Amino acid sequence: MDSFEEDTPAQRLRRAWINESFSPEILPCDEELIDGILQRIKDQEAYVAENYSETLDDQLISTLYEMETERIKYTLRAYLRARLAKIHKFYLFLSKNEQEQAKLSSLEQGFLDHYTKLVTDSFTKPFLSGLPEKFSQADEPEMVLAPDLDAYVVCRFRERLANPIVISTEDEELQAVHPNENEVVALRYGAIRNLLREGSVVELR
Amino acid sequence: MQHGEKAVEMLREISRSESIIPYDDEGVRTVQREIKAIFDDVKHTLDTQQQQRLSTMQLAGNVLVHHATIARAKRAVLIYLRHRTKQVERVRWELDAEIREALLSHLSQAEKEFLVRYDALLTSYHAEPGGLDLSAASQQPPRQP
Repeated sequence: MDSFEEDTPAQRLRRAWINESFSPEILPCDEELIDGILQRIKDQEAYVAENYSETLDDQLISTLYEMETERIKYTLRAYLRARLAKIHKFYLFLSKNEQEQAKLSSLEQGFLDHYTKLVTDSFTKPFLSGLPEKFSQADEPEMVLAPDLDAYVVCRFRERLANPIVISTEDEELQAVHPNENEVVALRYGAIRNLLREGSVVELR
Repeated sequence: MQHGEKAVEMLREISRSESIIPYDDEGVRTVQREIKAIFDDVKHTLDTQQQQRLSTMQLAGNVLVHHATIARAKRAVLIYLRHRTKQVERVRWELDAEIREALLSHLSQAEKEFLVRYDALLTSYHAEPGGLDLSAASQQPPRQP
């Protein structure tokens, strides 16, 4: 089990990937983390390239660097792919909501804009342009797919919080849980949404 | 053909097959014609309501049912088109040149354009983050020591 103190960038990346995989909505992008990781990959690959030597010790070190680089690259790819998949899925929802777009990296925002245009054109050109104007919209409210914030997630609490977590929805009686440190709970994503952003709650499978 | 049934029939066609079937251009145009016909019909009813001496209820009912029919047909065709463009996306992600060739003949002009533009979009996205290729073929988890 990982310790939560002193997270290395690689551990933080792994955490970001796991959270992104199990969260129903797209999470804020940690651009600083990604830039740091990319830099690290570059540095390590440069090191391996520049320090080729015949001695066994040096080869061993290079191999270890290579292995770690591969692991980091795998995690980064998986993280970015999980995000890209959500951009595909929720393109209308995201494109109509500036707060949501703020969660995307600038690269992802560019992708969203182009992708939205692309999909809209695929509706408009062969079909909608040939309909009466009243029916020619490609982004009507009923078409917009939004993330299900009531979906259940499994999460682990890094620490015992000062206050319990309210988990009931509006029309139910007030219910709350107060998990202890390292306790694993399954609950509605909406209940821990804000906590997740602040970084004190972790999601697991 | 009942109003809007063509659209549903098109949906049935694509639900039968996993891979992309030939684009039904005639089908899409038929639905467009059907929608226009219903729309003109409703317009005519509204224009001539005085002569026809329709009650408010009759008029409202007429308009509502026809609008609902149009909305349903429109929705069906949008699902049809979206399902296909999602299949096109999958083809691009899996990067299997053989499949791509075989399927090109089943795509409409608009869909071919979609594929080209989507491919360009993905390629330029990948070009940025340190040249990391996100496509499926390279995603094996590395061995843990």
